[in-house]
Amino acid sequence: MNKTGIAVIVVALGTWSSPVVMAHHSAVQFDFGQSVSITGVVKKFEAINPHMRLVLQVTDDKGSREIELEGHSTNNMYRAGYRNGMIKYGDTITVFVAPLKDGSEGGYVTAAKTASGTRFTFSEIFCAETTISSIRDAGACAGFEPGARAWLWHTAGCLTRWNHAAQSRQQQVINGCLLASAG
Amino acid sequence: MQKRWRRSVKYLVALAMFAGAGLGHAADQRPDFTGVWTNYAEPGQGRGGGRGAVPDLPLRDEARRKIAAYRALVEPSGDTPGGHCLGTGMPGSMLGSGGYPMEIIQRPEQITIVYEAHNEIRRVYLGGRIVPEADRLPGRNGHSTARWEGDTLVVETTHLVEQVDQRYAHSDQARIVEQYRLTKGARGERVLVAEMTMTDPMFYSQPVKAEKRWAEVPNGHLLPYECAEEGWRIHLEQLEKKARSGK
Repeated sequence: MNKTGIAVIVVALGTWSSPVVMAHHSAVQFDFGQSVSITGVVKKFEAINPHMRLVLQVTDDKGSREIELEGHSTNNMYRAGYRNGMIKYGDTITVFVAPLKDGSEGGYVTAAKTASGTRFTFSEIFCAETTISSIRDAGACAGFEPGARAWLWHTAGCLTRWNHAAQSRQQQVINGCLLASAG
Repeated sequence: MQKRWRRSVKYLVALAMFAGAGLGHAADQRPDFTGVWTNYAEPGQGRGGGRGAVPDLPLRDEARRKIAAYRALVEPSGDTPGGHCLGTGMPGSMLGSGGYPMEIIQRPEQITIVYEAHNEIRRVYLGGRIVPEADRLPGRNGHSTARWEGDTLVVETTHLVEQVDQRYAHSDQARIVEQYRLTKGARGERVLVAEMTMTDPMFYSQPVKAEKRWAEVPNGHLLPYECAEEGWRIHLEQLEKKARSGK
């Protein structure tokens, strides 16, 4: 391994080193029919494959505690608009998650609002369905207001549609959420 | 004499050009699949990555038992090969690839298919690039050779390993034939159609068929897909802990 590679690992360890190995959940353990918003301070964040890892320090009626979350791959985050540095240790961010089915705290991130106000969604629903009728759509769209900048997620095709929003195909694939936030 | 010789040379040159043009015409019929492709969906339809209900397949009893045993093992935790950074393998890679795009790089003697998810790569050899059967290494994506039938690329994949961990499970005896051709989508875009037939006497009582459609992404780019970083980081943390404790 070259020196640059070692340096990257050392920096990564310095940033993310933790005695706690986060539990990895599979998609079947999340309830994608529900969407819950969580606001907290970033204690840990890794944009990695196959799933993003996030730990938020949350303080609410139940007290102060760490909540472990996961989400889409680095690749899907990138296509959703995430870029390096958008989420940092100590930032206060809001995420929308599909909660764990067993009722324990945690979930799968489907949309996020960063400390600087950038919003992006990883919700497959934007591409998998074209209606805004489901709970999943409503939840994923909840962080977006008219005029906000938003991205479509899932495949390169979706990104292309966003980049070419003025083309006619826009009306065929873009749902109410994006139209409301694409100003 | 010299004039006659010149005429003969001109005739031969013309003949060669005509023959060359004829050969070129045959090659011109072959479409160029080079580019980035993503899952195609008709307007208003979903754009999933080939996921969904498991198809009703004509499985033999022994195959059914093997698949049931595998599912009983992983279903409580929901574990998947992809969750552990393992590529889908054929035919799952060509039928879905997790909803990620793919890139095709086409040369006359080799077509390389890169599926973004897990950086799965298939090398499809043609003509003189075809590897002798005895030298082929079995794997999850097998070994692929191809030939052109007019404007259709016919790809044959063998040398697969047994895989019960994908929707279209198969034994190591499976043989998959894909037929690739271009068509137009509802929005006028280039669409690549792949018709797949899998024959596997060990697992199936009859051939299994499926179709996949890809839409072109003009000037699209695939992203790198690193997946082993977390495992490496955890290993380094363990080494660090061991070094600190002196044990």
